[in-house]
Amino acid sequence: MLELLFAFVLGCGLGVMSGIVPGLNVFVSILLVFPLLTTWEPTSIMFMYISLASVHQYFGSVSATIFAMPGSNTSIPALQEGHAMFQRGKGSEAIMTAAIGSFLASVFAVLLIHFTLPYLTIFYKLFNTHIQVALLSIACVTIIWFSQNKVWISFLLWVVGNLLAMVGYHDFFGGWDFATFGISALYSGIDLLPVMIALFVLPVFARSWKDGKKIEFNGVSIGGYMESVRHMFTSMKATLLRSSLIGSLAGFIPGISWGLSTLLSYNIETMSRQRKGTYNKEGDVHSLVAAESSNNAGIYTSMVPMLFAGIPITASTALIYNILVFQGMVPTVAFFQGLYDIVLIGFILSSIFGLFMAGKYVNFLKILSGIHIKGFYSTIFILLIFICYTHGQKTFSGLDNMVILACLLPFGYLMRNLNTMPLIYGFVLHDIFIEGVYRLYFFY
Amino acid sequence: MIKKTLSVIALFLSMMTLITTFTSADETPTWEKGNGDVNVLLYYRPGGAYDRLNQKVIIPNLGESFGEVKAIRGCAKMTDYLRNTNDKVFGQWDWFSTNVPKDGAENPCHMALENIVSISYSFPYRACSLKSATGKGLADFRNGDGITIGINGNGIYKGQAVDVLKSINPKAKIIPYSSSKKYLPALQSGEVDYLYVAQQKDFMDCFASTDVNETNMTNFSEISKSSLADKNTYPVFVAFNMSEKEAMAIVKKIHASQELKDFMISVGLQPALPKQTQLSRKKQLKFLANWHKDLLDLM
Repeated sequence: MLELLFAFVLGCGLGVMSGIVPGLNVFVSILLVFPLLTTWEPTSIMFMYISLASVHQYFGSVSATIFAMPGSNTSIPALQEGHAMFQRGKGSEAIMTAAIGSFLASVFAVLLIHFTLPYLTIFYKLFNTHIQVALLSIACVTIIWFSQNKVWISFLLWVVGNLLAMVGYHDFFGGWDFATFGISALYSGIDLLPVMIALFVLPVFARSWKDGKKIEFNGVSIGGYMESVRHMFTSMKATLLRSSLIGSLAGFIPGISWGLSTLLSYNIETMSRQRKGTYNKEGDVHSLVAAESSNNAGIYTSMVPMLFAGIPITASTALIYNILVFQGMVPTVAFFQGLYDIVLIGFILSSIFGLFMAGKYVNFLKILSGIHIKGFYSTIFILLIFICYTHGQKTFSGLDNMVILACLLPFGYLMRNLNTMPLIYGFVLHDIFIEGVYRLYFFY
Repeated sequence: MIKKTLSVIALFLSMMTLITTFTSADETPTWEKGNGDVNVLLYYRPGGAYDRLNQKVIIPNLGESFGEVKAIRGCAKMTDYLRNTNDKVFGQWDWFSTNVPKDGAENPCHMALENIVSISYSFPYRACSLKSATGKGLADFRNGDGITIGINGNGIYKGQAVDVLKSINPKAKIIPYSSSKKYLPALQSGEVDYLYVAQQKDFMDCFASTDVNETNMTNFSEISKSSLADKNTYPVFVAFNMSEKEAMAIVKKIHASQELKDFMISVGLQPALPKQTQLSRKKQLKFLANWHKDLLDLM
């Protein structure tokens, strides 16, 4: 019991840290406590993992909304919409609504899985290259079509994102070498962090640089949360339901899981609101809620293939699986099914914790109110460069990251008036999309 | 105003501390460092099978000689490091997949034979179907018209798989996947009828293997004309800045250890070393070179 309690505290603590610090994702967080986990009971390991993954999402979106710090690729919509709301003094609304949406979507995913347990094999049909390529194609087309640039510019940005992601040596494509120029640092490809900082965060900062505004931020309150719940049930029912369902189903997609669910829901919501003429270019709360709620629903369902089929489909669940093997366990399907209850309890408890602790953290950040936006962005930018270096330096590639960042920064500045989301998503989704299309060729 | 300024400075400093603490934390899952002078290399994904081999087998067998784990992103950077360091380094190397020539030139991950000490262990390829699937088995695998077989599509794995499978059932469709995270779900969903991979899970029925030690399965050499049908995949131990005598002593200790047997069982293998490990180092290198040449001829 004491170990379970410690597992929960550790999971939530790591979730908070990994949400705040860019580059410290769920996978890396587990690695930090790897030796400790190898001595724990499987129930405690699963309890820790689900708490970590769940709380990470709440804090990740807060950091993206306030600091424009992209904790991971799932924070991109929060940075795009949430931070735009923050810039016009609506940061509190963005955070509270996203947190409530995430919580409700978590409840949706739990209920969906719980009541469909006897029919789970139907969901395994989603482990299918045709469906995956179709969903990825929808995600790519919608991000190109509805990202507020001219379509040909968005397409070009998407292509550039793909080209950047292609840099490296590709064993899977018969040893294809693309644009490494014999530089060993490029052989393993380009890290996401310098690309995200130079080509996504810098344009956001550069656009707001001239405004000369001061930060307005009021924090969150219980009253505000209640108001968000009311708002959710009066005008966001369809958004919430749609994104929770997309999140829950896309969570099953091997390899990318909740990363794809976030983007799909976000794109579909943005598309729908642009068509209706209700999309707010200065930060759209509906699109933000769609992304964040879908994200949390996907986290839970991404655990299901491991729990009920013994197959980890994300990097972090694969690591948990490996830790159990490391301990000498024989991870059979029956073994994992026995862990379902503990995962369910852990997810519900950590969702409640995430909802309220993110609020506490946010209120601490009220001290930022009144600060000049130029000073704020300069500080954050220095922090991001520092993170980019130290993150790379863990594997002796800090300098490589700095060189790549320096090469990309001028392009980021030149693209300051564009929405560079198509580029980032071209980069992020490249591997799974190209592999899927390549595999289809072998089917026909 | 002063209070606000101090608060913001405190926030900035606390974030810097937080970031430094967490992002500079060693990504390898090894907390303690040894007092010895032999470092262990790690360029593959932490937590995976090869890292478990480091943690559970190599480090315990190095004992007092263990220095620290050197974690470097990617085999090319690791190769650079190994060529330039004066430290003693020992470890496991994916020699078979990192030695595929790149556009006719030397692969940046190329590992010279002089640094290979011995074959470490081997893992087989197996043909498996979903346990719950009906009508699947060796007969259908050999004769089924248009059956789909999922394989690991990376580098030499693909070359080996295609050569063996095409000689067994030319009508089969061979579908490449980049990782087990993708091909295991594909079998589960029915996207492919069979897998030809190293993993064997409890939801799979495996009926043929390249490993002669797996006597409960048909050996592929009985049904395939490919010269690779009875060949496993052979990762190797490499050593730098160490004498052959010192490196071989470590290898012998590891090969005789219970830790290696336990590791092999944990990854679903028979706890028996391939017969080639009984050969001298020179003969092992010759075997590896020939095996690798056969693979490259197929690619």
